[in-house]
Amino acid sequence: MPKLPFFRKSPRGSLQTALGWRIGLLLVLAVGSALGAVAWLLDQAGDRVQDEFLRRQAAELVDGLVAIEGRPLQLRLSNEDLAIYTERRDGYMFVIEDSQGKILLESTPMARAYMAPAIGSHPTRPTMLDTTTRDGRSDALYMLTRPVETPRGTFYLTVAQNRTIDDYLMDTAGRDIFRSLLTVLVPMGLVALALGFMALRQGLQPLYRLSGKVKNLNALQGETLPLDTIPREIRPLAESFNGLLMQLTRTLEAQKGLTADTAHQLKTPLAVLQARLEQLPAFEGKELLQSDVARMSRLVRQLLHYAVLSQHNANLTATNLTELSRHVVGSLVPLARKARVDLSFEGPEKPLWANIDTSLLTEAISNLVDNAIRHSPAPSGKGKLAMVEVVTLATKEGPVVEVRDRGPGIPASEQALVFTRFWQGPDVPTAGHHGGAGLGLALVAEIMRQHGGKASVHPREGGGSIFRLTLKAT
Amino acid sequence: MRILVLEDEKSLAGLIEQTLKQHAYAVHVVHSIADARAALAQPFDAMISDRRLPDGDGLELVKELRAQGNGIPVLMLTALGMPKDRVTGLEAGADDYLGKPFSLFELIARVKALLRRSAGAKGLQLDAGNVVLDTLHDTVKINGKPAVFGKREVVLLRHLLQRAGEVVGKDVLEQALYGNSGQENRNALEVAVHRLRKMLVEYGANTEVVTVRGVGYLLETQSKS
Repeated sequence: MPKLPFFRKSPRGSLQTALGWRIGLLLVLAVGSALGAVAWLLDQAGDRVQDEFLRRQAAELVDGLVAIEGRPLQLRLSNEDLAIYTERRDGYMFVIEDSQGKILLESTPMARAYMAPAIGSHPTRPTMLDTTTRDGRSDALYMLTRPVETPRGTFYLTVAQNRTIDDYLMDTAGRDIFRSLLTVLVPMGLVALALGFMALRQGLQPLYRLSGKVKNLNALQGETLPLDTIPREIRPLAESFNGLLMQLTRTLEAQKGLTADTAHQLKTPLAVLQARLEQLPAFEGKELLQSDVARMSRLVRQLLHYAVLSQHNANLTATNLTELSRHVVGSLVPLARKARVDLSFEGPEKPLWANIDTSLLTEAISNLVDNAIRHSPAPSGKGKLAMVEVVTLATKEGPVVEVRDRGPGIPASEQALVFTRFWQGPDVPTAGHHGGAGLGLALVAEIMRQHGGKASVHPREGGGSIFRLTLKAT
Repeated sequence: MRILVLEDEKSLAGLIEQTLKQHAYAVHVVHSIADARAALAQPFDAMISDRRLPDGDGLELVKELRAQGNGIPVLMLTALGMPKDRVTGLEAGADDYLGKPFSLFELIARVKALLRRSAGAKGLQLDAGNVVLDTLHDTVKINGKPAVFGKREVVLLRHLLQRAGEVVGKDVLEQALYGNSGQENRNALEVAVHRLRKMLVEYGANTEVVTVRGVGYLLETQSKS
C-alpha cells in the first residue's frame, strides 16, 4: 500500500507538506462531520414534524367524528381536509374500527388493504409498523391510533402515513438542503484550505528566514544568528547553532593562527640557514642544499599566505587588469632573467576594468608567473631562452589574464587536481631547477574564489600550459 | 658608506654584518628600536631594519624618522611577507622591502640599488658594470674612457641606471624623454633605445639594454663568464 505523505516518516520530507496534509485532512473531517451532523439533525427534525402532523391529523379526525345512537358513524370533514386522504398526495390514510375490530370507515378502500397487517396493534404513539403492499413488497407505515369514547361505545381511529412517501419527501428536502450546503461548504472548505496553506507558509516564514540567514552567515567574520528576531520555538536550535559555530570558529582561528605563527616563526631561522649556507665556501652538494632551503622557504611562505589569506576578506575595487598585470610582470622580470626565461606581457590598449583586490591578485598572478618560470625548460643550446607570456584580454565570461608557458604541460587527467593543495607537477628538469611547495596554485584558486572568479588550466598548442584567471567585470 | 642594521635575531644580524663588511661597507648593528634611535644621532648612509622587534614595529621608527625629515634610505626586512604588508611598508616611508628568508646576494643587490638611487638623487654618480654616469654633469664613462652620448640617450641611461636590474616601464621612459606630448613617441622611444644600445656596444660596455615586451626595458650587466 503506498503510504500517504501524512504518515510517511521520511526525515527529508517537507515540514510544510506534512503540516499541509494534516490540515487538509482535518478540514475534510470537519466538513464531513458537519454535513453528517446536519443530516442527522434534519432527520430528527423531520421525525418530530411528522409526529406532530400525525397527531394533528388524528385530532382533526377525532373532532370530525359524529356518533349518534342508532345512526351509522359519520365523519364530518371539509372537502379540503378530506382531500389529504383521498388524493394520496401525502400518503395519509385512516381507518376507524369499533371495539370488535370491525372497520366502520376508511379513507379509501386501498387504505384498509394497506393497513390491514398492522391495524390490530393500536399504537398510542406514532410508531413505525411493517406492512405489505398489494403487490407483496414489504413496506412500513407510520401509525397512530386514538381511542374515541362515544355514547355508542369506543372506536379506534388509526391514522397512517406511508413511510416511502415520507422518506421521499424528506429525501427531496434533505437533498435540497444538502446540495445548498455543499455548494456553500465545498468552496468554503477550499478557501479555508488555501488560507490554511497561506497561513502555514506565513507561519513557517521564520524557519525559511533562519535558513536564509544561516546560508549568508560569514562565520569567519565572527557572525552569529541574531536571536532577537527568532521565534521562541526555534530559538534553542539557533542558540545551539551559534554555540557550535563559535566553537568551530575558535578552533579554526586557533588552527590558522598556529599555522600562521609557525610559518612566521620559521622564517627567521630559515633566513639564518640560507645566509649561513651562502657564506660557506663551495663544496659538493652546496647547490642542492641551497635549493632545498629555497624550496622549504617557499613552502613556509605559501603556508603563511594560505593561512592569512583564508582569514582575509577581499577588498574589491575597480582596477585596470592590464595595468596591474603589466606591473606584476615588470616586478618579476629580474626573477625571470635569473632563471634565464624570457618574460613578456601583452594587453589591449583600452583599459580592462575588473573588480580586484590588488594585493591579492598581484599575489595570484605572481604565483602563476613564478610557477611558469620554474617549469620552463632550460635554455636550448643556441642560447634561446624559454618564453613565458602574460596576456590580458576581454572575454565573454569577463576580463581574463593568462599566463602561457612552454613547460611540460599538465596531463589531462591531472588538470582538475592542479588547484588542490600539495599537488606537484611532473618531475622534469626545468629552468627553476627545484619544484614548488604545491600550495601556490591552491592559493591562486582561493584568491579567485574571493574575487568571485575562477582559475583554470588549459593545454597550449605547441606544448605547455595556459593558466587562466577569469574575473568579474565592473 | 655606513650602514645601520636593526635586527634582533643575533645570528642573522651577524651574518648580515659579515656580508656587508665583505662588500666594504661600515656596519653598526643594534638589536632594538631604542638603540637604533640612539645610534641615529650619528650619520648613516642607509638603514636595514627588521619589523618585529622586542620594543615595537620597525616601521614605526621609519615613520618617526620621516616625520623628522630624515630621508635616510631604509630597506625593511620582514617575515610578514604578504603583498599588502609590502605596500604598507612602502607607504610608511621604507624605500624597499625584502621578505624573509632572503639571499644575502639579494640583500647586497638591494642595498647597492638603494645607495645608488640616493646617490643619483644627490647628483652623484650611477654605475652598472663598467658604465658610469656622472649625474651632475651628464657625462658617461665606459670602461674608464669618456663616451659621447646624445642628450636623450643620457636621460634614458640615467633612468635605467637608477633602477639597474629592474624593469623601467615604457611609460616612465616616454614621459622622461618627451613629457606628455601625444602619440608620436612610440617609435621615438624605440629609436632612442636602439641608439643607446649601439653606443654601449661601440664603447665596449659589459651592460646591455634588455627589452621586456609589453612592459619596458632593463639594464643588465653580464656576469664575468
